[in-house]
Amino acid sequence: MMLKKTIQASLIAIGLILLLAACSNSADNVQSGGGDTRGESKELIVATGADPTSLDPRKTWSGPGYSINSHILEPLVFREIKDGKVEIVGVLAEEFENIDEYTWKFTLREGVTFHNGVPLTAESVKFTLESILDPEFNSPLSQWIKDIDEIITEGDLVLYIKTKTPTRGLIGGLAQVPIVEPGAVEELGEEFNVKPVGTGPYRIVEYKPNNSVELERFEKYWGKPGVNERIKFMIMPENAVRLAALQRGDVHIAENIPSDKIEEVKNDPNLDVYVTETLRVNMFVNNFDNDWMQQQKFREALSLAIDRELLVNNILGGNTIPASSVSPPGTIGFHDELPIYEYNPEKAKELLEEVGYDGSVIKMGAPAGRYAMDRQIGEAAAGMFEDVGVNIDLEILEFSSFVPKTDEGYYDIHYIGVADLTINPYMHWIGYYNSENSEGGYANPEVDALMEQAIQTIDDEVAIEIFKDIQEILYEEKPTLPLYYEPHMVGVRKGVRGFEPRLDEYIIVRDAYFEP
Amino acid sequence: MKAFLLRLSKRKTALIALAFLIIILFIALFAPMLAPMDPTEQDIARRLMPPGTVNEEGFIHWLGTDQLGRDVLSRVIYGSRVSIMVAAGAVFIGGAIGLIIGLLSGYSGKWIDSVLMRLVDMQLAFPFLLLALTMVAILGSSIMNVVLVLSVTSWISYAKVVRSSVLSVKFLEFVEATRAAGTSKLSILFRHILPHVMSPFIVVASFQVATLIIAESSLSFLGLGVPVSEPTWGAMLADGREYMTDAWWIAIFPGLMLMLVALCANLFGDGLRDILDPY
Repeated sequence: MMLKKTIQASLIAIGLILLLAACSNSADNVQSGGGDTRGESKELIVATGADPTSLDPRKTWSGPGYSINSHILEPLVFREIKDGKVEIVGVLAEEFENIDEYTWKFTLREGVTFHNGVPLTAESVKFTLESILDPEFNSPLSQWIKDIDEIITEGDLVLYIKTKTPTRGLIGGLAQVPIVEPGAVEELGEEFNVKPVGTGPYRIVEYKPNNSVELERFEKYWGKPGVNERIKFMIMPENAVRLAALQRGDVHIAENIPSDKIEEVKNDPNLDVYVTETLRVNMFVNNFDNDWMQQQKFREALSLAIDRELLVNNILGGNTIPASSVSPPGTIGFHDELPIYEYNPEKAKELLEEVGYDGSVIKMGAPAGRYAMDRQIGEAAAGMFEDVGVNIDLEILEFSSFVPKTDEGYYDIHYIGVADLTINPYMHWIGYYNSENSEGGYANPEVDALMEQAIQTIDDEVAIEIFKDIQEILYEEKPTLPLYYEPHMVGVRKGVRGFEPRLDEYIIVRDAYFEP
Repeated sequence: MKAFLLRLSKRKTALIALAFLIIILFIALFAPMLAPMDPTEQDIARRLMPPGTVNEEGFIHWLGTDQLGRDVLSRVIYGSRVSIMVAAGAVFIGGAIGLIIGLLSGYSGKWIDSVLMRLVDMQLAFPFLLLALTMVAILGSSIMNVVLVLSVTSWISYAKVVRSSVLSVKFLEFVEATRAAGTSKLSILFRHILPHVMSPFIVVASFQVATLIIAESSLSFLGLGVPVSEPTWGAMLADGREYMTDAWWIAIFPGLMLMLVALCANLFGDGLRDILDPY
């Protein structure tokens, strides 16, 4: 019996060791998925970091999902990056104009057909927008277009959108709303989640959740046709797996290369890497439920404790810049005269003494696996806070477990990255600095009033000044502690041509092809 | 005791294993004196330095630095504390629960035995690590919680062994005799039966140490063990996994220690079994 016990104990031990090993073994699965496509220029394979969950663009709510959808469906207007500046240009709308304070007129392109042969009309646009606004549909996208009051069609190609208040947010918001085919939505029902029908240059072949999405060229596309016959997105959440797939040539493009691996990728004769700025600012959110956090001097001390340059130059490999504002460069009204947030641990200690900080525990939270080097940034910053004498209790969780805890206000301070794809900094500011919605509980009537004024100002010049004023106030009051702007790092095989990384982190490969 | 040591000295492997375990115990106890640096002190400008790197204060990182510039040697030394603390705590608590339930179940028989043993069967049917993971996820991460979780998931091994040992002695003449003499049940159980079940119990405990150390590391590896600020071997392995190709030292050293401690605990348990169970 004792012998049996030994065997059993050893088996348990071996089992656990194997289990530990199994966690890193997933790299082996790539081989079967990637297929042998080397040397073939007709298909392009992209490794992406997360499953899109749903390809119905009215439900998609993640970067990888947006990237995939932007090949299948098209919005009325979209962002174009010209000389580092973001501009909004018409896609399905040939023209759009602001006819009075409350009304926008859109003229649709002629001769555009959906993948099922149905022509695009003003009614399809109306249907898409109205279904998103329907509270029962409960789409997160509704916040992009919540200012819409009424949609009026005029003939097949003209559409008027009336807003509740004058707003500069509508056009930026519409860029996030791809148009769907109403007939197909009705006909397919739930299946529309995996077989979306749009007007894009590629149509869906197959979506295997947590595995891959395959697209083929749509031959009747209205514009410049896609270069590749087929595009395949491989869903690979593990950083190491994506990189290995790229190194082996199983995929041509891999997004989110960890900054510690940039050198390795650069030194590989078969690989290239693109590092771009994004519209995302990574920051700490201070929770005003905590009495210490309510004191500006305490928040100031926390900010002074963080050596942003050290984080950026070492952990992030110098691939981005330290933050100097609550919004990144590239958003409208970015205040480029504010200095980088100061690092001064001595001053931080003085301030902590001044407010009489008694060493009570500050609960801190950080996600792992969502942003570039997020886990290490969280640990490093916790160390910096502790160096000036703040008693930090750090918890690091996987992103999907982390977010609910931030929503319930569990942490006194937490780390998050927020992007405003509408380029008006307004949308993400609402979530953190508007007294009604601010996640940390920050409330300042002056900021509220300025934000309302800014969003109702259509004239760019005037709005920019207001946006700058807001940034100055937030720079002083520090309801959040911006750290740096998220860098986007995309690895490609040498021989990939026509690929342009984008400020909005979308991976758009309709013009990219591989020629070894 | 003397006879025990004499028999132990004849088993070289067990002796070496024991010596190694004692060394680890010492390292864990005197970690603050032995560790050359504060294990949580970061030096971000000197991250991922290979073993033997000298820093600007002339201090040598014998085992290199990790992804935040912390000294790997100091972290390995401090990491032993968590492993030993958790293993010892879980063996103590889990062992106590298992011993009492095993004794009760084996001696009283009847419905108590049936109920308790079905409880054991139920838990046996449930994967050990899955149960531990679920419990830590609910309770939150702290050393005490990990100890509790591992105790609750490991008591069944002791209970089964103790119960069967009790069954084998409870009908022997000397027990019958004490019972006939009118000794109370409690006294029979703890004075007369307990000493006879101690040796198998100790053997199981020594094997459990290895299992528990690995279980703790698995939990830390999966990010559900002790808090992140506490250096542990499992968490170091998880951190180092991403750097295996360019900074192997982060994962290799804690992995090596983990393997050695688990191996020695098993070898020692093996020797112990041979000594205590001469049949």
